[in-house]
Amino acid sequence: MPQGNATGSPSHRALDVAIIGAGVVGCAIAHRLTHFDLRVAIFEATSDVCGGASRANSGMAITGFDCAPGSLETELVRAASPRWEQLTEQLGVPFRRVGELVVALGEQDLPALQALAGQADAYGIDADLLTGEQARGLVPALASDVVAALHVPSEAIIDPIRLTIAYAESAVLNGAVLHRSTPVTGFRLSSGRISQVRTAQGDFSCGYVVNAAGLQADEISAAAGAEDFRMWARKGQFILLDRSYGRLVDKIIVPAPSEDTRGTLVIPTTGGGVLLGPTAVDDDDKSNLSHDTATLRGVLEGAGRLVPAVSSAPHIKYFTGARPASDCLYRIHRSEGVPNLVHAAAIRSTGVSASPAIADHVVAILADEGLECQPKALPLRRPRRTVPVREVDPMTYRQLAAGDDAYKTIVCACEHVSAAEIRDALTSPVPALSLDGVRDRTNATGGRCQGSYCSVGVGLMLSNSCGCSAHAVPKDEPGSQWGVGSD
Amino acid sequence: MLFLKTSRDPSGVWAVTEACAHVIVAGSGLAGLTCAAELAPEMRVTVFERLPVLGGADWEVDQISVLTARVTDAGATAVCGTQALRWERSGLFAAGMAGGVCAADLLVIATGHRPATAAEWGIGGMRCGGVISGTVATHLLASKVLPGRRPVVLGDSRLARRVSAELLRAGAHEVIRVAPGPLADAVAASGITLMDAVPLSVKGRPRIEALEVMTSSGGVVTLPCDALVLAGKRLPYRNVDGALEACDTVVIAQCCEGEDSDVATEQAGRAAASRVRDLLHAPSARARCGLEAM
Repeated sequence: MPQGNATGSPSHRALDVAIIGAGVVGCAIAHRLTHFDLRVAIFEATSDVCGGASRANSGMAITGFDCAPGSLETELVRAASPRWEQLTEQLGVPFRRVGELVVALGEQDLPALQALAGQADAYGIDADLLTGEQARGLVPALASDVVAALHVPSEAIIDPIRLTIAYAESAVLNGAVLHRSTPVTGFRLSSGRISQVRTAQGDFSCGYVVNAAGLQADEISAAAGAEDFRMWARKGQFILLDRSYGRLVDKIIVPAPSEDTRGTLVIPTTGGGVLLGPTAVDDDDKSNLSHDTATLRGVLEGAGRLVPAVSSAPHIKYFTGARPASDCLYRIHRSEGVPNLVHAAAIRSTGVSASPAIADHVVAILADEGLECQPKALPLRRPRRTVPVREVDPMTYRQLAAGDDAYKTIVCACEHVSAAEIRDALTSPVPALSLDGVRDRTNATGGRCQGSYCSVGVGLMLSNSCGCSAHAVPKDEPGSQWGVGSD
Repeated sequence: MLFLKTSRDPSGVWAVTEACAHVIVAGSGLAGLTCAAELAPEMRVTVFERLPVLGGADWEVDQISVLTARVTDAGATAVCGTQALRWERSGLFAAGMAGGVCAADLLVIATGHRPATAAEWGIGGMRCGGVISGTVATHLLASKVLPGRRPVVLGDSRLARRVSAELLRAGAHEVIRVAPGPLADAVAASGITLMDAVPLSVKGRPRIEALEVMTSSGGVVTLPCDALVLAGKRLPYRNVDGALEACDTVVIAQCCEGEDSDVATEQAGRAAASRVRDLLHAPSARARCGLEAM
């Protein structure tokens, strides 16, 4: 069974590129680097990939039509946007170009809409100004006081967690080594360059280091004696609505931008639910991801102004994301002081959307610095995606069940997840090691009852797979286990 | 659709008796079996159960085994180990031992009840381990796993009372039962503290350390704890896509929020049976089922 773990052999300890951080950016870079004949490892402090901002965001793959011109962020977002169909097909990641409506709730919003329409036009992105009536023709649940809207058909939704996992799986399948629960503790420098990465699993020598450590990118930079900058958390709270409400909203709904805020969005998810949010509050506490009901009430009010029906929809869960914010966005460059260190940091809000282009950009910087990028002779291996029961028709289901008995056991009744999907999540190139890890890969326990019925079954499969006892089954990180003891 | 009703004569021989409607009952707990037992003598009934045995988790309970006998003797078909997934125009799509599409005129949702989730309670705070549903706690305790030594059990329900007692038996030092409003069992058992309060938020990472509540007097109190068991607000559990609400082909056999007794559950099953009869006797339904041609 491939584990994606270190073997401890000397060859694994000599790396061409060490990537710090297994978020969407680090994993995208690893995925890209494994196209070449290189020894690559990813070091992740938490117990699974996608532990930070990459997991708790709005799940959009934006075109960049509303990003101001001239920045690296806009350039990379726009470069990535046309590539999603091919990339998500290759990686088996849920993706849909559902389109977006930027809505005006009054005459005062019209100039902002017109400005956005002009900018989209200049970028060559299709965008149509609609009357309120026309907008409600597209999304009947839209509020009656929407007077106009800008429709951008190519705006898209994506599953950001599955994207990050798929990047990591592809990287591991093609030779990268992923070290989870392995924080980087320091560096050894010689002649001004990093010669070794020191970690909880020992030291690794390396040619180049990529700092994709998200909220911890400032600490990594400081530990290498490189640039002095500060990262903080821009926290966003979300409400996930029941997937029976997905039909109500089949486009991303965004209020016209105002001076101070982007406002609350209403976003369909690839899983069929609807997300409301996010808020944006800066906070120096990087680890506390709590949510509070007063803030969530505000989210609900904001979303209700766009789509009144969401006010009465059942809530599946609340969550908080911490965007890696800094004084300078898109700090993607070679370090001035440490020439074999490349920062891929301060990618605050658009990491998912820009990830394929960020990876290319970082690889280009590494190549400029002398990294030899020889394409691999063998064709790349692609992660195998287990077909989920909830996406198939009855005919296909019978074929699947005839070939694989595990499809005959539905473990999660809310999300219709079979034992086959869970088994494969537990034995994939980047296997799930916790209840949340299984949920991230299959959606089991993520539905209406939030695991009231299925988490016992998932936990049993998990404890069999990991060899841990039932009471030690973790929710996510070590220490989050089910039980405090057993007889 | 037109279906043939089969039944067994006293000598045990199956015979086709008449053309009739076909009703699927999803779930073979108390409500589903009560409904199926009423309908089976009158029409073709198929009961789907996700677990491998008719009666589901409670198959050994006397009341349930009496009902399963009534249902099968009346000629109903039991499809066990099979989970109802989607209700479509052509019938029910189910997955499992007997997965596939089963054509039918009506679907009865008798998929049971579940405790409210943290979001449904409106609980804020961190994401921590040790916050589990009462149904999960019951399973863990049966597997000799102790979810907490100082657990808070949330809710005023049969499940909450049962889990609290089981926790104490399994070695918990003290159980605090929290529910908004006076609790039904006003006299607490030894080791159980009752508290009239609303849960606000959980604290602790990676595992729960405390629950913050607002008491009936309006004060905010922090209760140190090492587990939070969500066991309140018995809600109808619905998981069949296309059948989340009642309509002219979907009948609900579930209690309303707050109803929490076997009597109410049986009553929900009987009410569903009479609703099925009403729907089938409506002229539009008879035409749809092909019965007007008889």
